Amino acid sequence: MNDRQNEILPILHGVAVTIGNEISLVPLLTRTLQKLLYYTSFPAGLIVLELPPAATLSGESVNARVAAVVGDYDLRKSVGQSPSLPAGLVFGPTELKADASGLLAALPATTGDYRAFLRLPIDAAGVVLLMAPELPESNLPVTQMFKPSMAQLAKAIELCRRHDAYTSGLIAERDLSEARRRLMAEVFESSYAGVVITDAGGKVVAVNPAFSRITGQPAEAVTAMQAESAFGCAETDLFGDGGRTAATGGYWQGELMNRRPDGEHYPVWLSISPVRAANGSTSHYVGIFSDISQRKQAEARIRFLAHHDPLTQLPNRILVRERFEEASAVADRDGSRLALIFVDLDNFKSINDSLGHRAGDRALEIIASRLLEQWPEPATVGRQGGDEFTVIAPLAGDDEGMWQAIREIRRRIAEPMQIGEHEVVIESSIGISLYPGHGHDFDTLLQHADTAMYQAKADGGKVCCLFDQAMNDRARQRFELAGQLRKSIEAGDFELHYQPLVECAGGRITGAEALLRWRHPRRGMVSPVEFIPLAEETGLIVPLGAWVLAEACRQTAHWRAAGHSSLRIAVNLSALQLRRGLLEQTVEQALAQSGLEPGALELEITESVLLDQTAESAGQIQRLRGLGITISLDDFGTGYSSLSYLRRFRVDKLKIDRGFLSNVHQDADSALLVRTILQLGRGLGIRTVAEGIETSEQAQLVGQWGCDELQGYWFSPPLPAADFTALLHRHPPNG
Amino acid sequence: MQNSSMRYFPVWDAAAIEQTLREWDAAQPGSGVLALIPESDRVWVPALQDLCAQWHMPFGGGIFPSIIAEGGFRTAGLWLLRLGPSPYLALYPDLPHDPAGAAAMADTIALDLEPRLAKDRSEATLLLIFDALVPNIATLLDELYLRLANRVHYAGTNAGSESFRPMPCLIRDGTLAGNGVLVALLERHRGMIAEHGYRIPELSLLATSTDGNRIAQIDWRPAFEVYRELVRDQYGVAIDRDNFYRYSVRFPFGIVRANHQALVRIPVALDDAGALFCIGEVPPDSLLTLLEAPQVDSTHTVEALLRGLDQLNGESSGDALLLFYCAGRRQYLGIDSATAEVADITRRSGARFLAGATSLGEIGGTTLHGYPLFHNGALVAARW
Repeated sequence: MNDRQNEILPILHGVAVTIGNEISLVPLLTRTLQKLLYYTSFPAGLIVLELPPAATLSGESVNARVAAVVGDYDLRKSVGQSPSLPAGLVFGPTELKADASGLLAALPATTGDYRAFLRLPIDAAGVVLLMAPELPESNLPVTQMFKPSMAQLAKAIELCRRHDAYTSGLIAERDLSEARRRLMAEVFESSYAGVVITDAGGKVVAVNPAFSRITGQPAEAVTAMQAESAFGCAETDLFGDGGRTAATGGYWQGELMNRRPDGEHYPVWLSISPVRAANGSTSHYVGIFSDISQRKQAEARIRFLAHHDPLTQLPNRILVRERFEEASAVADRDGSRLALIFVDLDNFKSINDSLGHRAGDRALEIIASRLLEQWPEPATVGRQGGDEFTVIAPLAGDDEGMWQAIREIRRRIAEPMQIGEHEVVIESSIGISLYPGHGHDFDTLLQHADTAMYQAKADGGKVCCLFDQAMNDRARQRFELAGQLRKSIEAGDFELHYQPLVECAGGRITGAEALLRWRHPRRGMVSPVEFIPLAEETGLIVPLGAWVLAEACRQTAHWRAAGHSSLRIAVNLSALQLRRGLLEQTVEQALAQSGLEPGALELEITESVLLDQTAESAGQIQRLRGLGITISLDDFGTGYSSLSYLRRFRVDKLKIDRGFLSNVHQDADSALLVRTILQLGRGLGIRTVAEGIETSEQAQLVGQWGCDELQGYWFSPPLPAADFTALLHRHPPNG
Repeated sequence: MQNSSMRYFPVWDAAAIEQTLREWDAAQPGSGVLALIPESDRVWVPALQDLCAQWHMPFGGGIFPSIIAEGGFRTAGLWLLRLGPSPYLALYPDLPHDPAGAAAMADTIALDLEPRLAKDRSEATLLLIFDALVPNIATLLDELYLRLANRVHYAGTNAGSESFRPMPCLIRDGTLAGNGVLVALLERHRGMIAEHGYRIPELSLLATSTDGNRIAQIDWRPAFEVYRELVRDQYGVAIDRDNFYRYSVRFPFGIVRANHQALVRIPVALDDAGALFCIGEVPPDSLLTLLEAPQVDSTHTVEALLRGLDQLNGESSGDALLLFYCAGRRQYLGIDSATAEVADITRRSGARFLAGATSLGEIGGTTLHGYPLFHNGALVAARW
């Protein structure tokens, strides 16, 4: 080996070792370039890759990617970019040039005094350029000796690119994994649910902040603790390989009652899952749980609301039924009895109407508390709805205890209660049925108690009744009668009788009161006393009342047309007709169809009707009055006879109840009352009518006292239309 | 007679030193001080640090086997060289020895420097004084060159003990540290020239297994075993640890470069496994030449050195010269030849003042704008 070879070989060896040592593109190019500079004494160099084919070149410069720069401070900034480079510099064969300052000056380099370059093409698309202000001295064939190095570099570039692509993939994958890991860590840290991670034995390895928040245990206090103890639950075998979770395939979920360090108990819903190691064994368990205290409270509230009345908090009818089933089972075992007590408040509606619903609600709350005080557990007090309450009370011994309790509660209910500024007194009607004597199931007993309560109301209210079979029979009869009533309305089995109204002074017939009569197909004439309340109760009074109005108007118009032109007709109105709000329409329709003048119609309402009415129905009455219709206050004196009503509801006529007149000629008090009412009428400019006049003495007296009209058997009983026609002929009104 | 920016003190004279500091501070407030201190007088380092601290003068320096003063090599006294106002001086101790660590350290040094470099785009020289026992100096130099490139000129020397035992040898203000590098930026400075003038009489190509500055094998045998045979064949002497350095300067390794010049690597130590250690690395697994009994052409060395200086600075050379002279070269040439070489440089450079130190490795380009290299056996010179 000659000296020259001895000089070249270590250099080529050094370059080869450098190239062979690198596995990534950027270090490969940088270190190779550095080594070439080191050996050649050129101070700076660059490597350009991805050169376009020389054949496509059109100008004197080319944009190509600078892949590496060593030795030039400013040119370094071009690494990774594709600046404009002189084509004469980057294209061409291996070349050593001492003076190429023109080409080199075009480079974006720190120093502008590069003059010499050594060009070493790597392959068709890459080149190494070494640059110096002055060509370094060398006696070696530098243009030829590096060719093997460049060939090796070309291969190394290819291999490094593949390796970089592979590494980039791995890094991307790692970054993705890292991102996932960070995300999971974030989920773990910020999860609202508590998370506990245990080892395979169930010892706590990690907990998240939510765990500490829910359990009250800081992470450091529970690390390495058995998870069940960390929770403070009574269970001992949930976590860990020997526990229940492992026995059920590694998964478990359920509700636990845990205990905080301060002793507070709270429910959680816990799910346990295993974490499998690569060999399939369980390496960890993950428990995720949430505090379900609020959910449980909400559920309890929902359950409560489903079974209780939200106002009084008393059991509702569903729960009362359940309690009855329980109580009746106990009674069956003990051989004892139960009372099902149905309490209905009398005239409760008037409190709602007059004082408002809030006051009504308060009254119901007070009544509920009074009932509960009277019948504590094991009795059940429930609210059936509206103003109705039910009580299921065990009966011990004879019935006297029950009756005593009933009397007591009626007394308690009737005690005045202060609601806001008002003192309110509420009476009650109570019906009672007994288990097992009056029935074996709740519905039957409730129906019987209801029947008894209705009986109590029918008896005038403010009383209590124990159910008996006769009551049931009557109820059934009423039910049947109601059905017949409905059919008769459709069949037209009703007729009107007319009782004349007569002027006290002169005895002239001024009009008539239309009175409804039911000609029952089988029973014959049915008393109004029997069917009118039933019609009111069933709502049939509304169509029946409309028929009465239409028929009375029609008949009166007929009479007036027949020459009794001053004849007037009085028709009774039911509270329900007013309440349904269709009265005006019904009246107007009757007048229109009959052609009767409004001034010939009188509508009679009772004091209780007035008492029961709202502003809307009062408005209806006033609007009818405005049409010219006369409004009469019927049965005056039997109710509140409040003067304020007379002021609020302008009426045209007062009808003095027959009860005052029956003894008027014998009883000084009655006489005084009647005279007072008559004076009141005169004072207010309201005409007066004395009802139920049966004797001439009565007629004479009221006439003397200034009553305007009278009505009663003394003059004539109510007559069918044909008979009344005959009466008119005998006592012509005009006449 | 004294130069205004370099003062030699043949013995420790606190008053004289303080007077010098006072003068420099008065002439140019904020001036810094670079000290060259011989190994045997290193005890004065703390006192010198105190004085510089008192005068609030930035202070850097190195401890060398000897210093060059008054025409010869001195093992006593000290040189103080004045640095410009607010000089850039940074000490990086505890240098990492692995490639990644070296790259990171180069990043740190470059990032620290860049704001200073950005302030003034004029030429500057990066003067690097390494602890000679740093095993990866060439790597650090390569890494710095990747980052700073031709923004600065590179020059430097290695400090330390010629016994090659670890010794804190780098000074920065109140710190004295080893295994590091002192970085000084000489602004408006055109660099230094390194030259060794080793002639290569005959090339013996050796396959080596190397790691940094450690040559483990030569021609696939333990390095020391082969090396000992070579010395025995040449001189008939059996080398051991004690006389190793005396002979190794005659058998340095050469890293061949294309300009027919070799980078010299003088083995300076050996270990129990029979590996040889050099000052400065050799390329990994490289083919090295063994420079058997190289001839040192002093005349050529001095001429090349002075020509290089002229190229750097032009004909208008100043009257002061800074010189680092390889301790191994002095060992090889002998004290008389080395002293004569120094005298020749002084005479032919026209310098009226020459300050310097013996070095354990040298940094610099052999030509203008050359690739910065780490040498052994070289002289590094700069106008001051």
